[in-house]
Amino acid sequence: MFDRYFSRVFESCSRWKRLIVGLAMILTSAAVIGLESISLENNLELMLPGDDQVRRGMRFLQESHFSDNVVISLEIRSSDRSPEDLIQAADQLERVLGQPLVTGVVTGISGTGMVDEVLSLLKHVPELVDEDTLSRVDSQLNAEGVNKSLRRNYRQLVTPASTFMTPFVRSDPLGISSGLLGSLQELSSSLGYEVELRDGHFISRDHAHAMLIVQTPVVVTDASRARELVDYLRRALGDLPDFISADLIAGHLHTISNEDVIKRDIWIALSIASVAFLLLFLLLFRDIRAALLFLLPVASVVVSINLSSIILPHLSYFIVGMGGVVAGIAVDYGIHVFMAVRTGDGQADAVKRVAKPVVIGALTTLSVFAAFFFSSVEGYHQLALFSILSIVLCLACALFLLPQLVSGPQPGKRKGAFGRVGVRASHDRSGLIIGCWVLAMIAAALSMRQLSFDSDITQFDGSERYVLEAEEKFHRVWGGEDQPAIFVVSGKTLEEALRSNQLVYTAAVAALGEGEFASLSAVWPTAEERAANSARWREFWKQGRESRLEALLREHGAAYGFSDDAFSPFFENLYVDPESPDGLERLEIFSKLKERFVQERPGGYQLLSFFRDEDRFVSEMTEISERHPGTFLVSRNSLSRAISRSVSSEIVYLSGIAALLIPMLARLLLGNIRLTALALVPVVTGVLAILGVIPALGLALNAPSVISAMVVVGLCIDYGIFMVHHCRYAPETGTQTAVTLSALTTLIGAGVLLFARHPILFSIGLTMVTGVMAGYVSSMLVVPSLYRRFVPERTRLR
Amino acid sequence: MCALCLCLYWIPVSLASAENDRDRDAPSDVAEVLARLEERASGMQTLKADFLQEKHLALLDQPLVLKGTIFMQKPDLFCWMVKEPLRYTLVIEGEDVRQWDEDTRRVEKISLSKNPVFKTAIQQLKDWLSGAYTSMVGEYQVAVLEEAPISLEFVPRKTSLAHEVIDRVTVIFEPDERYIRRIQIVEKGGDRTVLTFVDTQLNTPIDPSAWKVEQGVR
Repeated sequence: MFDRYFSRVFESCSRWKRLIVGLAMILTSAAVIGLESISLENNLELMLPGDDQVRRGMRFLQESHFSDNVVISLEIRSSDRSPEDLIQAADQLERVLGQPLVTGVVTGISGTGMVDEVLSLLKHVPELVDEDTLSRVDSQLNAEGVNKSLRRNYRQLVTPASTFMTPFVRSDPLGISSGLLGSLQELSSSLGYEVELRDGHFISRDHAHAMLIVQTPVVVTDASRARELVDYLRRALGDLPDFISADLIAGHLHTISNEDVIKRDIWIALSIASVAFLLLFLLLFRDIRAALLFLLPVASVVVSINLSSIILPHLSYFIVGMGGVVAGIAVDYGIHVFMAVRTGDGQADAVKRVAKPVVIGALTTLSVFAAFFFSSVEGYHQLALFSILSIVLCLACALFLLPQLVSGPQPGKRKGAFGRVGVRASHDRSGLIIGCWVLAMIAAALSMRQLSFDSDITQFDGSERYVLEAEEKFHRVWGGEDQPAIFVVSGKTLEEALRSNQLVYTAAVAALGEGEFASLSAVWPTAEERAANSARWREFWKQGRESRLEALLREHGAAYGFSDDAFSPFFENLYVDPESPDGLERLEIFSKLKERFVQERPGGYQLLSFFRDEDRFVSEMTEISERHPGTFLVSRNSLSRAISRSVSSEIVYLSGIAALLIPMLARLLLGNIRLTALALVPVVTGVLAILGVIPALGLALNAPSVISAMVVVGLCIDYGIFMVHHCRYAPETGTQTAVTLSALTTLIGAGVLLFARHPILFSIGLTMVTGVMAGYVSSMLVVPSLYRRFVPERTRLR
Repeated sequence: MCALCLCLYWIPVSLASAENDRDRDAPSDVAEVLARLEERASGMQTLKADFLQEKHLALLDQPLVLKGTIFMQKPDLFCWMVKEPLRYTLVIEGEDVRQWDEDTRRVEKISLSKNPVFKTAIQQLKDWLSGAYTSMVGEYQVAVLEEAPISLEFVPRKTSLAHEVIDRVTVIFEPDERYIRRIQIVEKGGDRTVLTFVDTQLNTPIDPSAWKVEQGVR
């Protein structure tokens, strides 16, 4: 039935040859022009599993303001310059940076208003302290308690920093606010950077660096605007005095650098592959028409890029980077047809003889790519669509267009450059070949024991050295390398979020311990609670405690020389009512806390809390998150674990699909279990080689290499099918040469990726080269040897 | 109260844009004096001095008089030891602060990097004593009050941490200008602290036990 339908279509194509060739040329030309208008994305999220936790974490980090700020670290390069020069440079930079790319520059913290601010905060203590604190205060309202407090205040006066302490001693003689201030200390610790203040500027501990935080509306993922921003900042930095150097620390630099690296890699890969393909075909066949073997897959890939960009909203650079690999795969079908036409007796008959294995080979490869549609990684869906389109187009061109174009006299017609080397070798030394193969497989299996899976998402970051070195230097100077994990609580209103946050805070303190969870709830109760606290405070002092405390302070203060009105600021503020319900929020200290701990999002608010990103804490907080709907946590560790978990389950899932589809299709063509098992030998060899070589090179398996391994499976089964088909039927269609050429072209397509700087492309290249090489060698040597030894005579058709 | 120091530090009150256009350079005559004093102090490696501190505070009926000893060794050792009216010792080594007092009889450890106000107060005292005057020009406006003996007035700039608390600081040198005789700090609220140094010894070996805060325990 296959032959009948194929013949019909083939003959129709022969009749409409001119029209088909013309249409193909128009379509290809249009596709080449269309490449100009395609916009590609460099979004890491496309390559991540669809696991909710992973996507939510990544999206949170991308959308939060953390990643959009740019940090500039200035450094004095001359030993005869002082920190003052550094500060002047920081101020100069601050003055020149502005709209539209920069919305604000923070050079430090002004000392103006600080003391007033904290004294104002003390006025709000009534609404911020809870019932437990008042109970503690109550227990202090006696001679012993007050005496102890007075002694502590007296001690403050003998320290070298006493000048700064006096106003606070007067405003809070009992230390009621100490818990609140301690909590603020914890919140500040969550910043993680080591800065000193000098003249209101952020200065490093070595006094040789100044830090500026540049606020920008440019989002990290917007590559073109990011480029504008970085150029703008670099121009401004260029105007600084010669003795100042500057390092830029920004997510934007990663975006730009990744784009540069990938573009360069793609350009180099496609250039090398193109030249190599052309040279290979022209030198081997000495026939100018062999250039079609190169041009048809390239045209198919170009058309597929256009079609993919129409179907998909965001096309990733990585997918286009795989273009060379896909072309290397798709070229195989043309090679088989070309070889058949050159070595066969009649054009139509020769094509018909190879059509079936070619189509089945393409179907097995397609089935591997189709399996990617079952993945939750959007990038794999793109890869699947792009590859399937390329392969189908190339297959159609190989079967129906190529024979029309290479018909006519065959210059240098021959049996195939690689003759029957593999089959002959298998005749002579099949025992030795099988023995070596078994030993190699055992070695690979032993090496596999060292195999590890690298799930660190930073491995996908191909940023250039200068970006990473600037960051390393920044962390050496300013610290902050160990970024905390973030716990996120959501609510439709700020109050709703605060209520949930309070519950989480209580649970977190119980689970992690005091001081381990930096949460806004430690210092900022809900409005409802604040009102209740205020009422309780008034009630507390009006019940005679005010006069009792006054008397106790006067009586016992005299022993230390405290004056009668020493603590008058405390009593003056005892019943000061905050002017309005949002009085607290008007304090700069709380508006800044809000800036760091509260994020306004469409449809609600998110409250952020911070804790150490360590396994125990992440695990405890994960449990708490599960008990509180609407919350989630973001940590590098948990993201890494989630990716690892998700990728592992994907691998099992996709491998299962491929493991079912490939033997089924092989069985369909070969019609025999034993032959099917033989056809699977290159697959097993290729996969074991990958799993053995990667750890032997000191590398780890990662998501791109797993996906590449599946493509290797799709290719190796083709080699297996063709070689088993060849061993069984021995057709005069140059199968061995065709398989060799197929492997060579794939190796060229994938091999050029070994020159790639981007870690993902390199990983793909290494996996493909290792797997295809091993699969090819086993198909040429091991399959014929095993065929001779293990396939019964009755199965053979020669 | 360390938490308080940190809070003061942490509050990002406003973008530090104030006074960006001011002239940070001291007048040339002042700069000359500062450079001269710094030059004379440059050979100092260690300092030991007894001190008498009088604090005239609204908080207290009578001035509080402290007696003690101060030790300093470049680059980063500092000790403030109060003997009267309360035994208290504070030792700073790099970023680590240890303090002990006779009431609690406990050694409390804190970090200067986490207590910038504390650090500022100590740093200023160290700068005054070690003669690092030019580096203070960014934080203070400096004026020469007297030439013989040299008397300098430091007025905190608006962006400095000290601005809200301190009105001015007067530093009076010994006639040979090698070290300080007296520091007077006048606070915004009118409180006043006078720190007088006696028996100042420069570059004499300091007993290593001076850097052990536990000496107060003995």
